[in-house]
Amino acid sequence: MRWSAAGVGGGSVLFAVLALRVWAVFIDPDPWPSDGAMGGPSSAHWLGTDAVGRDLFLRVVESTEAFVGPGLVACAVALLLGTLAGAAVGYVPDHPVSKVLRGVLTLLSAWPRLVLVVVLLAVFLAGVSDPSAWAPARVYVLGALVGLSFVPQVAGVLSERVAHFRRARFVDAARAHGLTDVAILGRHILWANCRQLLLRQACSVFGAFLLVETSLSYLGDYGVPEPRPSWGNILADMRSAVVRSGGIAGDSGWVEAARSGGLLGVVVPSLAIVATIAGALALAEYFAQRDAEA
Amino acid sequence: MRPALAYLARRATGLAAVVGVSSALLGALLLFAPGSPVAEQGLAAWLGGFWRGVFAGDLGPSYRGIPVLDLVGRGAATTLPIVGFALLLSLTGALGIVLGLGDRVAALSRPLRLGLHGLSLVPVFLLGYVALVVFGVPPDGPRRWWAAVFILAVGDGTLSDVILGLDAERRRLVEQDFVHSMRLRGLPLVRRLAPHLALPLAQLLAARLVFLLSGVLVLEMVLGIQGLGLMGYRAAVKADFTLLVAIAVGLTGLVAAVQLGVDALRVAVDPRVRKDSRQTARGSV
Repeated sequence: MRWSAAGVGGGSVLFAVLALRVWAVFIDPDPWPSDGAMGGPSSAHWLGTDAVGRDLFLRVVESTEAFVGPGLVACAVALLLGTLAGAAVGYVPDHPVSKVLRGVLTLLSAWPRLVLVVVLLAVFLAGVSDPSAWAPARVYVLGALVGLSFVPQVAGVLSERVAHFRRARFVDAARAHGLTDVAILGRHILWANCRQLLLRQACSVFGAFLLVETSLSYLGDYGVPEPRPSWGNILADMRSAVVRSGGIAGDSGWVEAARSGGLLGVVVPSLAIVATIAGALALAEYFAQRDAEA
Repeated sequence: MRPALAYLARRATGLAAVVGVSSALLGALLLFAPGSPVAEQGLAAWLGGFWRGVFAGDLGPSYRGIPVLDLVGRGAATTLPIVGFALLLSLTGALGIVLGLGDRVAALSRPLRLGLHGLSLVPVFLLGYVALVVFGVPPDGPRRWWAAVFILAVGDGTLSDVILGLDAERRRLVEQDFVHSMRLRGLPLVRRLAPHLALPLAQLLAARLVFLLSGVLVLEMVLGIQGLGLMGYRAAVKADFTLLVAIAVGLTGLVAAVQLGVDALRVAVDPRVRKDSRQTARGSV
């Protein structure tokens, strides 16, 4: 297998994120240091402490819990439902089920993705008897809903590809050899000719999930609830601590923010979000290149 | 009826059906939310009441005590100009880069793509956060409004998508035989190429609109702009489902209306649609 710069870079970033996720398993979930709130960086606390005295570095590492597993749930939902719908619409476009599916996909794609996710999440939380009991699992529900919101995109690109191969000569040959439609579709079209496309979509969904999770966690109500950390809610915590002197770029803002430890609390989660999304998209680009070469 | 009008009428009916079925689907979802008006009244009764209310201009009060449609109107008056100016800004920037650099865009393709991807990778919520925390954008006034427009035009991949889409279209176009012929004859290209670029450009912008609407919703919440996003989010948190559905259906209607505008443009620039709308409509779906 030939790796490009995008593949190596994206793969490395996602591998590092997975390694942090494994490390997070061994972290004491509630480290309350005695050094006080908004402490600057030190040998004990590499990034300093937050507004209530928690170690920022450990919270940044622990935050991987908030999106790695749920992000994979989002990928699984998007790929599973998107593949089923896209394969049906592309392979048997005139079947009544395909027509209904096309209508449902058109409806889902007409809604802005975040609106769809927030509406579904609001209905879900209104429907459960004790929303606080669902707090730990809420981010996995969010993953499933984000995955659902990507089904039209995955199904759309896949159905075009399947429709393209449906009339290919190798499909006629396979049919002449007595292969069933399921075998032709599964093995010869989806596996042999669409897997790079699906991997590309999976990487895009993972990056998009991180974006939605951190956005909602930053806003508070539907993301990862405190005290569990997320890069989004760390940024929200730091915001009030750092906005002084008209922002970091204001008079003595950098100095004040650096002294208080707030600067690293803003910069590190921000860079982590951008780097992880970049990694996911670089890997998507790598799969796109492989797809084009195939 | 003339083929073009028949084509537009069919598309309008289809898009109206999408909006109507969207509201029914949202209503069906709300059956699972205890305390929602749908759970209390039943889906058919609620749906009938909702659309009667929309056409009568009265959907009742929101959780804030202000009529729902008034709130949606105020929100739209804030949100839509931001989205419109952001589209305009990204389009102007993309046209400047693609037409200004011409063939050099292809030569610069790799670094340009990497640079633009890098810039566009930054989510709008993070750009909004940077505007607040780093640059201290004030909580009201024109600076915040223009910050929202700029962030939306650049972030979440908008600018890079428009540039790359526009450049791909330009490259496809300049390889056409009639363009070679015009070049050889020394005829001015811009005036003749504009209609050929108009439709793909409109399609590109219409496709970006759905993403931009998602982006503006987050951005309004981060920057505290009282638009549809902030209202919708608060409606969800306060379980004001009528307001939430009104906003969601309104946004779906907006997407459908823009799509209809693209179809009208297709009729204007594509003679095949005017000649035989049925065949082209089938091909374009």
